[in-house]
Amino acid sequence: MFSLSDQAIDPKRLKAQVTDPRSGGFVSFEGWVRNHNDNKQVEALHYEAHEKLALQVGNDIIVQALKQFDINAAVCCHRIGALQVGDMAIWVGVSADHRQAAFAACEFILNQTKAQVPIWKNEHYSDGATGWVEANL
Amino acid sequence: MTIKIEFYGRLKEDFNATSTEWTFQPDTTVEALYQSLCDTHQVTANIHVVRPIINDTFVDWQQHIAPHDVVGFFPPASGG
Repeated sequence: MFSLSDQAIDPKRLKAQVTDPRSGGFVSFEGWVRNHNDNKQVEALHYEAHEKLALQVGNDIIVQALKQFDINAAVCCHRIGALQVGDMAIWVGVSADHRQAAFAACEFILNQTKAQVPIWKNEHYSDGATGWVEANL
Repeated sequence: MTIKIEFYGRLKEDFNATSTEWTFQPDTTVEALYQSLCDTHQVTANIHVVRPIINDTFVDWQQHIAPHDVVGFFPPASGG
């Protein structure tokens, strides 16, 4: 399942959604807001989304991952709204019988989410300027 | 005939608006609409990276717009 959240992401709650007795392992990825980008000092950022299509595209990615990889469960949650440095922006979790498929599916979901889901990042810099980030693949 | 146009991400700054009303001629494609907007706002039209939607559905650039449609334009995604 793919979800959007305007509140802090709770990894424990999300991990519970991919826990599966068939699985021999679990892989997760956390994306955090870092304090720099492209030689600029980042103070904060804001994620904007077209929520209806973001959920549609994000869930299509999860379905594609479940078909393409030998995994048992997959979840992705992306923050929207205002975030500070250190906040978690995205969480991806996959459980599978074996680790190879879990690692591959986790990376697939992350890459496809960054490339396809209609979410846009607006960075706020230490000099007061702001800037839209694009195609940060 | 009028429609509502919505801009997302950096396109809000390019077109200096979050949304706007627009009057159009019959048989106008979404590509012609976008080109007209770009001409008016002196924005470079790059339809290879921008994606159009109509009424919350992805559409082809050759899709014709209809009265009361809500047309949106997406710049490249940058989540994660």
